[in-house]
Order: sequence, then C-alpha cells, then structure tokens
Amino acid sequence: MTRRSREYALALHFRSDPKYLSQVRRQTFQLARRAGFNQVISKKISLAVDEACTNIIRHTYKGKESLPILIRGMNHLDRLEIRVRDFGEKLDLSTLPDKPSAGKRAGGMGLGLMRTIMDEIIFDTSVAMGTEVCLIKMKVPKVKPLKKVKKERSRAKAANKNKKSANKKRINKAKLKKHGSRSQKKNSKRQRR
Amino acid sequence: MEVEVKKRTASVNVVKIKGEIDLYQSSFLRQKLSAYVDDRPTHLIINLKDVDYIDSSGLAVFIEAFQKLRTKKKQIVLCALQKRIQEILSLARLNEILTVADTEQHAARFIK
Repeated sequence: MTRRSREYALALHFRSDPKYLSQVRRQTFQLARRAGFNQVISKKISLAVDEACTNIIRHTYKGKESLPILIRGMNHLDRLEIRVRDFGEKLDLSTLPDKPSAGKRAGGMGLGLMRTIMDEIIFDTSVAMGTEVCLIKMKVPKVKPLKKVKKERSRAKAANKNKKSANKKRINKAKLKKHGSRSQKKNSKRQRR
Repeated sequence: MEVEVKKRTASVNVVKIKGEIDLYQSSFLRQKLSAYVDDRPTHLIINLKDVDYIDSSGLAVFIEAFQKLRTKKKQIVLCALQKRIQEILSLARLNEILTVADTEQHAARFIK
C-alpha cells in the first residue's frame, strides 16, 4: 500500500486484497478526524469507505486480490469528499437499487449503509477506465425533511412497542410456568378441602 | 479475529467472537459457523462483547445463518453488543429482523 499526500489530504493506492481493509479504515478515520468530524461520525465514514472497497473487491473484481484500488480524500471547507476508484468493468448504474436495503437479504446491504451514512454518493463512469464512487459528507449536517423525521420516529416507536409487548408476554409465560394460573391454584385448594 | 464455541446445553451453543469482522475475516467466521448451521444445526447465541467493528459482509454471515437456521426451526440470538455495533445494526435495519439481547443469560431466555 502506498500513500501520497501532495495534491490530496489522502491518497491511497492498494491491491484488492481484503487484508488491506483495516488500514484503509484507519487512514480514512484519521482523515475524517482531521477534517473536523467527531469520533462517532469519523468511524461511520470509515465504514462507508470500507463498504465501497468491499463492493469493488466482491462485485467488480469478483474476489481477485491483485487488482488496483485508488482512494483519494479531499478536505473542502464545507465537506469531506472521498473518491474510491476501481479499474475494472464499468458499473451498470441501472442495476443499482434505488432505495436503501431493508436488510432482509444477505446481499446489497453495503450500498444501503453507504447511503445512510454519507450525505451524497455519486457514481462516475465517465473516467477513462473503471468507475469512481464519490462519497460526500457535509461538515454542517443537512436538515432532514420533516416527513422523513416523522417516519423514522414512528418506526422507532413501533419497534419499541413490539419489543415491550414481546417482553411482557415472555415474563407472563415464565410466571405462569413458575406459579401456575390462578384457576389452577383455586382448583388445587378446592381439592385439598 | 478469534472465534470460540462453547456448549451451553444440548441444543444451544454460544459463539464468542473477538476482534473485527470485515470482508477479510467474514469467510473464516462463515466457515466456523457452518458446523453449527449446516452440519449439526443448533440454537446459537452469538456473543459480540469483544467485537468492535462489523461491516456488511460480517452482517451477511449472521443473516445467512439466521435464514438457514429458521428453516431448521432453530434460533440465532446476538448478545452483549457494543454501542457502535448496535448503531451499525440499526443503520442496516437488522435490529428489526435479528433478535438482540443484553446478556448471554438474557439471550438464553429468548430461545424456546
């Protein structure tokens, strides 16, 4: 893995071997910290970059470990921009899912995570070879539309309710097992009399 | 990454994982779990107390195990998640699908 930092805040050039992913995460985390993001958001940014690399290794390079990946990070006044480039076949943009994955399938989760973490993702196929994915995180967070916020809150509430009711049921079942139902107790008392 | 499997009861195994789960490690984890998912399926409690990073390829291993075990009427419960892992799970909306418990004991109660 080589690192050049003249024109860019970060420039990494490495082979598509998954063993380099931990170094990629460490470098992008440090870049995000230098750009002024807090530790939690920086970790998330490094996860998004990891996902972009993972997608390249798995889908574009189909697991081949010796092909090149280039990462360039640019620290702008208002945003952090990280470009991840492969040199394989150009990505067919029509095959990308529109919405973030709901997590019901084992595949397609990476792009969903990238979309949730970053403010903008641009797939650039106009480069001479391969595809460049541009991950953008704004330094001042974008304001979410009110509808989206309300939807998220109601979803969280529903999930909480479900959890609570499931817990109650479980506790009641456990109590019944331990002490038996009231009617059973009454019956046993009557029998004793 | 280290993976340690302990028998809790005859039908429940506890898998303790240490380290980071990314594309590099996920195939090793998949291989380790396959004995308890494919060969001799049992209920699984996955203790993630010492896991400080997981990406989509790691999460995919758990989803695959969940789907396979469900067909064999077995359960998989994740427990002792660090805050960061909980966040990643909810970002991927997997907390709506996978059962998550606070502790190993709590996880055992979820298994019917």
